[in-house]
Amino acid sequence: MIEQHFPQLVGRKGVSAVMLCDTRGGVRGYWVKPKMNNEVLGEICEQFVHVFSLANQLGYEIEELVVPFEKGLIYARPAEKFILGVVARLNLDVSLLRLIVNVHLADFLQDKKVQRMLKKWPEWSPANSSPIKLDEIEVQLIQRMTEASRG
Amino acid sequence: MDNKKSSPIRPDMIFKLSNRRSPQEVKLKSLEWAVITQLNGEKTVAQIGEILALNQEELQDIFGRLIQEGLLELVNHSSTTQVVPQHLLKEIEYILTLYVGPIAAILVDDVLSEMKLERKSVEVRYLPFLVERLSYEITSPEKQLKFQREALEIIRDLDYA
Repeated sequence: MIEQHFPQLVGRKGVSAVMLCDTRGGVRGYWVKPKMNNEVLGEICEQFVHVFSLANQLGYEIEELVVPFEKGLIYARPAEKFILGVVARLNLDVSLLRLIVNVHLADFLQDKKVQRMLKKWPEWSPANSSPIKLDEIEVQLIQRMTEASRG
Repeated sequence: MDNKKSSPIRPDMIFKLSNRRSPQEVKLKSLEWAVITQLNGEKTVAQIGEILALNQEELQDIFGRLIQEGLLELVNHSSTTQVVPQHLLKEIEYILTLYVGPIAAILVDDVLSEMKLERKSVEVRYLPFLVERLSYEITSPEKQLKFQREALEIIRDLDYA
């Protein structure tokens, strides 16, 4: 599914993994570079759902998330019933990534088969995230992230 | 040594040793070892070539092999940056004209000015952001996306490394 609908991501130098997470943190589809361990994708999906659910609960609208780490970056784009995630190397330009995701995601959502498939996927709900309470630092962190994403 | 399939090694490229594979795991020739010892994530291919008195063809062969063996990681290009060819900017401007009319040229200049860039020296790495920024000058979200799609077709195969 990923190769079919996101060909410019899959074939792009610097992209290590592309995944489609449902709103419960399940991995519905993925592509990984040869030799890359795919076991970590489930954890990444769970974290995505956690972050976006918390942001929803706090009333923040995050259109995308870019998290740099030591050797790369994680890019996430939430949609009505899923999150598209990309793991890439740091030298991959985020604007280019965003542009490709914009175009592919629109085509993906227009596809009739995809639309039928998405009907069966769960909606976002407050129950999707872990029922934990945020401390003050976590709230501040999310506020800063959302402010940064709003530019 | 067959390097026909390897990407061209440009003199301004900078490599470092990959953490994923050790040179000890591969049988290397003495010149390949010599290159390995020079890698520090700062020297360009050209600088290493100069130190070891290697010509471009030799560098292509050696770096090509080391990359194929998974021993190298591209750090980045040096300050010698790639500039967007003028015809490419013109193409993007033409596409924008189809959406916003003859004002497109002015919009391109305005956005470039906001980005503190000049037409003749726009680096390739700024191109996706330029396209994205220009798309916001189109009012309709559907047409924005259409413009992004068409511009992406033009810029997607450039070397952004």
